[in-house]
Amino acid sequence: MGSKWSKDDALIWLSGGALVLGFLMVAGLILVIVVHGLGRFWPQELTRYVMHDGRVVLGHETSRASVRTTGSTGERSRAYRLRVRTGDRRLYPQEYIWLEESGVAGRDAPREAVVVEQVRGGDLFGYLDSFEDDGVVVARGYDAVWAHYRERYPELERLRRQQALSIVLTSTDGRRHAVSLASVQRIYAPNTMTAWTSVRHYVGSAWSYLWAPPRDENRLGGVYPAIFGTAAMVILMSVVVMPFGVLAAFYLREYGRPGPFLNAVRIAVNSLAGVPSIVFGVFGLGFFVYFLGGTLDRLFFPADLPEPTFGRGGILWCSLTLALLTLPVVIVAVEEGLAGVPRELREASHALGATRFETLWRVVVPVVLPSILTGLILSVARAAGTVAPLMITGVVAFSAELPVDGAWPFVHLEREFMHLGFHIFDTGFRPDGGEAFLPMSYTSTLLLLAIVVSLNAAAIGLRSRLRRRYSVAAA
Amino acid sequence: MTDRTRHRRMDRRRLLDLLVGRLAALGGVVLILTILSVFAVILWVVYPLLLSPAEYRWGVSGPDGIDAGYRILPLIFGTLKGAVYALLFAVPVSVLAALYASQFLPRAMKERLKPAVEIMAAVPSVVLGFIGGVWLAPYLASHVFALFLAPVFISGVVTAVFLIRHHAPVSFRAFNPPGREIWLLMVAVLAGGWLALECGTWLETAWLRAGYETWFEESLGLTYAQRNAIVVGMVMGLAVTPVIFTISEDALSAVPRSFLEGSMSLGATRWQTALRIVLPAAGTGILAAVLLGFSRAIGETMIVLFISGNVPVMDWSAFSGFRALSASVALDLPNAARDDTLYRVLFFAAFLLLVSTFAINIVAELVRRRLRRRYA
Repeated sequence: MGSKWSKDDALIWLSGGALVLGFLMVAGLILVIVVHGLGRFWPQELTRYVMHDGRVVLGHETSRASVRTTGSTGERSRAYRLRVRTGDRRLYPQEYIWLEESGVAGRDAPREAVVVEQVRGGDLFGYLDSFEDDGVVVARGYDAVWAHYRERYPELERLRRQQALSIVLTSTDGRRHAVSLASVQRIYAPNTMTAWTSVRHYVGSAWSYLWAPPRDENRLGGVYPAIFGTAAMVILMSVVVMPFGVLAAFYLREYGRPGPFLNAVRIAVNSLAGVPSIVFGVFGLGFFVYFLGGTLDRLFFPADLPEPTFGRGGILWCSLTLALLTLPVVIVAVEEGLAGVPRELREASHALGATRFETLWRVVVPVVLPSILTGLILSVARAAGTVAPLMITGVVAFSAELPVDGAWPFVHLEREFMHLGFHIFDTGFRPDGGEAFLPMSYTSTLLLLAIVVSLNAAAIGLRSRLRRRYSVAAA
Repeated sequence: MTDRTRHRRMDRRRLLDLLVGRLAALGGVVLILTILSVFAVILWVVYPLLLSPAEYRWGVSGPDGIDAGYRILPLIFGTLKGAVYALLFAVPVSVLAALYASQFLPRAMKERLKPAVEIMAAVPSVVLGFIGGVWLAPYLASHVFALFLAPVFISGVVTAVFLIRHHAPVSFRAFNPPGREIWLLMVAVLAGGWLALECGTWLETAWLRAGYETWFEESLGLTYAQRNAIVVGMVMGLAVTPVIFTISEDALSAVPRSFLEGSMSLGATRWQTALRIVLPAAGTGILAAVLLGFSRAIGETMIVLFISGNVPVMDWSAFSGFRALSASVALDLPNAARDDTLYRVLFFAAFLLLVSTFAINIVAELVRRRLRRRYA
């Protein structure tokens, strides 16, 4: 290694660049999700834009795009346009507007600007004007209305039913808009918030995202039913896949004699692992939903026909479909564990007169228990992140009912359900007007990613601990 | 304990052993039945189509005289186009990366790399599809020039950093000692990407009068769809990279040490050895890796659903979208009534996916087995 360099070393260096590039791209995409997903709950400052043409706009900037312009003398330059969210259409004509940056004469953050989160519909941005009770003004002006609202806030749930109370907002162009207290989720003034109240706001919003039902076609509110549905489906799937996967792995490693049958089973596992997930969905629709479900309906629910009970998509069919999908995952994980059990252990057990089953049950299973757990975690992670087959076997964008509730028979296997991954698809894949749904889908994407990655990290950690134990035992 | 009770107990133990053995075998039988039934169920729905004239099958017209409005051919084309663009991105990146990881990366680094690749493989495709369609596609649409400059700039900056590192005084080695090259590489790649972004923006402003869309149309006769094959290629490429990387890396690492030693003792450099000895020796393994990556890309649904634009056009242009078999099944099967033509045509689409991935996987498995036997 002198100062003379060879082309070879440069090429090695470049191939390292390929490795780094792949990682950085994935890391970059994940970073975008994290930033957007986490930033959403932070109260955003409301800016008042005063334009040169006298227009006044209240809202917050969501993005800044560059546009090329050609001046009158032919010189080219770059101008910027601001994408500004102006809130719900009930107050302003459009929820999102473009502003030419060059047209902005001035901007400030008025203290009295408030955000009114509505139960139905988006947020309203405006100024507090008055508090009315049945058309009679009770309080007027920012401070009085705010005090009045704060006083009533603890009993907001009860007040919702009273249509008489309302808060009047003024828009930037001086129009007045009355919002019934019945439709107010909460009101906050982002421009007066301190760091501490912002943090409280953040935690509160994140909490209600996790535990509240969705509002306004999944655009607002929380994802509790989706989290619940995903968890219920994954648990149901595990109950099915674990016994089968473990048994099949035992057959492959412990009981099966080498021969054509063992080979056939092995080929079956490999083929199952290679089938695209969407094909499992098609199989699930043809076999589980229409064949099994249709048969169940004819046998047990003939009174309801032609209205199907089990003969349509539902959580049971989804979990069975995903059980097929994750079967190879479990088998591979358990097999790996079985392969790591030292032969001496088995031989010692056999030498003491134990049968194969006794050896398996008393000696091998306790040792491979962590591997079985690894298989469970990996299959759960896989199932939680798989969406395509569910789209045709019973997942829905919105469902008012949970698959498990207090009504007899408590577990409703035939019900359609909400799923976190499908929630991302539903909110993120909208041909038009999708912009307003994006904050929601970013957060859900982050949540799903966090769940899947932490499950996988747990499985990897578990496995590496296991390997270390064996290598110590072998040494 | 009398002999008889001992015998009975022995019998019970043997019986239990036998029973569990049978149960395990039953698990195996169920597995075989499962994969067979996947084929059987789909064929059951598809066979009326297979028996009917070919134009029904390809969805040109329906057996009930009603046009299902469904053309399978553009969908097959779309699936292939997506997979090809994904491989165009994934194969160079992952094979080069695997070569580097197997031959030049210190062992300690490699141990840390493995879980990272595993996590990368675990990222759900709906997540990649979402971020690709919603963020990356619009972003690239406003940075088209940067997209083209990026490969040149990144490799340029990486080479430049290499030269600096090589000619720098020895004290630089303390800053980035051998074995830690990967961190410096990371900085280089990031710098190259950033430079491409800046220059691309500058170039677009300085050179083009009316934005790249118009320039594309007027000068190249191309239309730029925001959701296009390049974005699909990048994102789906990232999705299949872990598959290709892991299998290629295994194959490259399995090349016997004696090959390397022989080559180096004859005076070949490390790169010459890697490129001319190790790579060809692991060639079949890499072929298997690419095949498996291809089969993954064919069956991938959520990514193409989000990013491809789902328009059934048939051209190879990198800047137009397409519609894939898998995405069509996911989008349209929920709306298809049971047993009508659309239902059967979509099952036929799934059948095509099943058969092709199955065939590719078997070929890949055979190739891998041959490789294993060779070095066993």
